[in-house]
Amino acid sequence: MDPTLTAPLGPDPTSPDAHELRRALAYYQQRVDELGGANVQADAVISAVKSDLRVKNDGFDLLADLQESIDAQMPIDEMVAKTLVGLNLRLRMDRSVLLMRAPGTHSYVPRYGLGFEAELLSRFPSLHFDFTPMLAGKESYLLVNKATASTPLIEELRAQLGLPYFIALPVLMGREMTGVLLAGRYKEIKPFAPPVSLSGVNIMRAVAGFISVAWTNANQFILLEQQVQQRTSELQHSLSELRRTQAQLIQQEKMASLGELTAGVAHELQNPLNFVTNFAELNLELATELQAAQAAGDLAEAQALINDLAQNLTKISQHGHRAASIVHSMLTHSRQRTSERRPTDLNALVEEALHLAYHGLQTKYVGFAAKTETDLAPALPPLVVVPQDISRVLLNLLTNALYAVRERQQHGEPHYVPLVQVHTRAVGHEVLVQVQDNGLGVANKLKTKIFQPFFTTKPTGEGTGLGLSLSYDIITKGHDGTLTLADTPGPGATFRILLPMAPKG
Amino acid sequence: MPTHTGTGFSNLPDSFGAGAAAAAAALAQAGVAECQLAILMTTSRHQPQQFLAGVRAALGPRPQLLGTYAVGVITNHHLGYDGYQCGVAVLASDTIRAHLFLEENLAGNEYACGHALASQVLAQPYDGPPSLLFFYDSVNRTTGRFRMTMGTPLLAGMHEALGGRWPAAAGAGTMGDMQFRESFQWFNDRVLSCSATALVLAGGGVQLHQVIMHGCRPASAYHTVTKAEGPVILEIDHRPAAEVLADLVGGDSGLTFEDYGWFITLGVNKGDKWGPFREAAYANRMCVGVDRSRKALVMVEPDLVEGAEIQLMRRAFDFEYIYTETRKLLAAIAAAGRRPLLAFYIDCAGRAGAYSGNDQEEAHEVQKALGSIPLLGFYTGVEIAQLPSGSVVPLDWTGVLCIWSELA
Repeated sequence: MDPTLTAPLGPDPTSPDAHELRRALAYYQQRVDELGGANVQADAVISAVKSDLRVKNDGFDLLADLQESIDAQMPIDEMVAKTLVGLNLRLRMDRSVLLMRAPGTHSYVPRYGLGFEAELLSRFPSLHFDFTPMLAGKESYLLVNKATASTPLIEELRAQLGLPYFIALPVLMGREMTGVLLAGRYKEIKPFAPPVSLSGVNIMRAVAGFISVAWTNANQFILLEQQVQQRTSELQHSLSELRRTQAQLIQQEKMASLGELTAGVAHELQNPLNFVTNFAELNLELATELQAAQAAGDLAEAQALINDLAQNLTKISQHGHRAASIVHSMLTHSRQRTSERRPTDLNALVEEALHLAYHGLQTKYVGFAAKTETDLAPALPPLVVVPQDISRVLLNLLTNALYAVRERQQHGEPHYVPLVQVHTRAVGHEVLVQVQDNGLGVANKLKTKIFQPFFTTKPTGEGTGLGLSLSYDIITKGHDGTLTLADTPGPGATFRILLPMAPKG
Repeated sequence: MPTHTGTGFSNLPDSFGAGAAAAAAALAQAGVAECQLAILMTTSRHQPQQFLAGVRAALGPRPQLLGTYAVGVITNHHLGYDGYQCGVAVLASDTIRAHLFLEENLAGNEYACGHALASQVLAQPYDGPPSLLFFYDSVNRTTGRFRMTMGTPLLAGMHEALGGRWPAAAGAGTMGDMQFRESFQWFNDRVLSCSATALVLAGGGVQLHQVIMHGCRPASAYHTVTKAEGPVILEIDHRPAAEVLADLVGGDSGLTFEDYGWFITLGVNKGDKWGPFREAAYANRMCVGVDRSRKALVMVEPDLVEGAEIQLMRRAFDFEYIYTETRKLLAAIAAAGRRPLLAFYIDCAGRAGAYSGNDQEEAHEVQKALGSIPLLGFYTGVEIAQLPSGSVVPLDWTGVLCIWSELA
């Protein structure tokens, strides 16, 4: 046999080389073990850190979820339910419960629970726990693990809630402990690891704080909503009252305006009626004289008297027609619809309004007299306006102007001549109507307020404060024009109306 | 009709509503009004009868149903665990046939149950090569106290019945939460506990592809289990197992016995012992506890027996490998001229961020990589996958991505 086939492979196991080889092998085995072991040990430390990080991340995610899904308008029951679902799912708790303090006692009763059987849930109202020896203050907590020393409270909680391991901590409203948040597990999540840990306590404390804030906000929101509803109701009532009052005042203003108009008209009628009355009385006397002349056979005298009678009858007829014309004009005015626009002679409206305003003031203030001047553009084209409304505006401005000059007149200034001037002219595509007086004027600080509703400088009872406001609305909203108080030097006031010649649309 | 698949997710607290919503969403994603098969997943927070009723309300009485409790659920755009998460996957096809199998009385009877289940699978004729997905209830509370149902004997029974010739297969030992509360399964309209179920898809050219991903690499030399008792490792290298671990991880590490649980992972190299590292060749075993009195390590499965060579494994914090491996699998499917139909991700619950001490979720990488391919995944206790050698083994701390495909 070939001796090489029977020769042992490798060195002689008893040789020094083999011994050295075994030593080397043992050496490297030990080094490999050390290196590998150190790596695994380091991995274990990293793993512990990552576990803790994960728990913290779960906590942050839970708080973020709650913050996103819960708002002050959410009913409290729904808010608590979402919180407990988050605790059970995110922190992998088996059961969680929010206990609330029974009023006037130190006992806490389970009110909201998740993970409990229906039968246990139904017994919640009858369960009472006194946490005061163990939970007091914001930082306190109860962490019950396998090694936790037992107390009567812990045993009672374990027995009644079916949770051997749990965390409990206070829910505060302000400084008052109004509730207890409790969550726990049947067994450890990770075998051999404590079922609940301080990381869980920290997260639950944040959740309890969240419940506290959310509950307080929800209560405040409910209160605020009630207050808002009450305030809204009061405001609506006030608004209705204001609208009623406004309507009354507008009606009053209209009546006042109508009153002024009526006074002016009455004054106008007074004149022709006086003529009619006077000439009629004169004719009665002449008729008596005529009878006497006829009886005396004095034909010449009779003829003269008949001539006088005829003349007077003519005057009566003229003035009667004039009165009829005034009444006809007023009737025509009142029958017109205020919304109907038609081509109107603006100068005629100005003259009529001036007459009415002047006679209205004279009727109101016996002995009042003022100088009035008109400068009306002769070739002013007819304006398409609502004549009644423009008349109301002109009457208002002219009445105010006459009132102002009368006020200044009452101060007894020597050499003062009350003057009211009215100008009309075409300005480009618009028509200007300017009413100017040399009365007391408008104080600078009041100029921004004069067009505001209910603003007046007249004594109480002498004005509603709506005249200028209504006039402003008629000109600006009703006719797309402008009504301004011009900034002119010297005493008095100048109001300018600008109306478009062609209406928009 | 081409094959249609879809998945749906819900986290509604109401069980009926959750089932209906998830099932309706799955149909919507599939773009069909009816399906032949639905796979159901839900956490233990749901009431199984009501959940089933909700699913039926959405799908109607005809589809076959198979499902199980899970610690959490993963779909294309959602993932979550330890809450009300649930997921439904639907399959509508004229050519691919779904075959369901059930074995009850699993508790304390793993080997026989596995054997019977696999026998049923073997006895069924198929239209084409079968692909097998199976579940077993890992929670045994038949005595009131918790005992873990082991995958190793179940798989041994299945292996025996199949004669060692496994079809393409994957599975899971399931549970509904990390507290090992009573767990349920659905088999058509039945709600069961402590059962093993199986789904075989065959016909229509369907194939099952999978990739094993754990991201762990050996961090120590080889050490030998010298004494073990079921899932408890008593001695390593003839020394108390917990002491060996303490030395390995570092005496001054500050870690306690309690810290070892759910963090320490041991690996068994099923491939070339001295060859280059291959992730798929490693079977991970997670330490779930420490027996202080015996200084022993409690593992999930009892297959680290005396003589088993183990290494301390180091977990990856960077999950990019998951995306890469998933894309490689998809590329391989495409290169074979096939179209992915439905992805199924069997993920160890210990890998979920909250349990592994991570601020990221590794399942996100699967979602990203799959894009619009319908995905239903779940978090569970034991992942079962097929190694390159063909053997089917239970794994820990592993994500097993399965993708069904058909010819494009």
